[in-house]
Amino acid sequence: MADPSSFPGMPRWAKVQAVMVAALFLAVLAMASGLIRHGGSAMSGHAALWGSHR
Amino acid sequence: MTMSPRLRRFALTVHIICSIGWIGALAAFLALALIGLTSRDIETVRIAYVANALITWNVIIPLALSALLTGIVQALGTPWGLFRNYWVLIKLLIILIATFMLLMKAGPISYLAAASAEDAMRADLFGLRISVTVHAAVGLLVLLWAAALGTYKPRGLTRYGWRKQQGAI
Repeated sequence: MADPSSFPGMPRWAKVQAVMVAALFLAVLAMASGLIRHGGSAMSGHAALWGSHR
Repeated sequence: MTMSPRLRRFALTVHIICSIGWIGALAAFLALALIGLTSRDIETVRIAYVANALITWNVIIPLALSALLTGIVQALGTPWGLFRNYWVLIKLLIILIATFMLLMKAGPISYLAAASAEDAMRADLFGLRISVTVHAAVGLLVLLWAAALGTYKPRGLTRYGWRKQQGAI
């Protein structure tokens, strides 16, 4: 029998959503690595839209 | 550090306005991206992508950063805490990932606007147009997921939250 004073553990919904968050994180990492390889970044895009201030 | 009820309500109001504003602005972005992708009219396509870049920099990014900041303040200033409940922790991770994705995509969105302003029907921009549209759609789903978590607040304490509740820390 489980000890009532021990940590009840992670609920099932949280386990499912943790897996979904991990999948989302990996997808975003893959996208970011592709963007960096192709030279895309927020600042380069800012310069493309409004011109460099240098 | 717990906020007074009045301050807590104010912080919650600001957080809701920023979060829902972010969702609304992203929905407008997605509509413009779909118009840019499907329209045959050069002027419409040009205007859609320039408007999208302006919305991104002037509305979506400020709202996203404000939603993240006010969410953290809201969590730390209330008994919910930032690491005590799974729903808060998962929502924080979702918003961090969504904000990172937004900042990574801001560059290509601006490039698309600048390139479309010169030649809106450039064939080599088609892949980027698809990518921007798909990311906006996925981003919208992710934000709706976070909004649902914040509304339902499913039960479940983290180990840290459980220890706090037991008074062990």
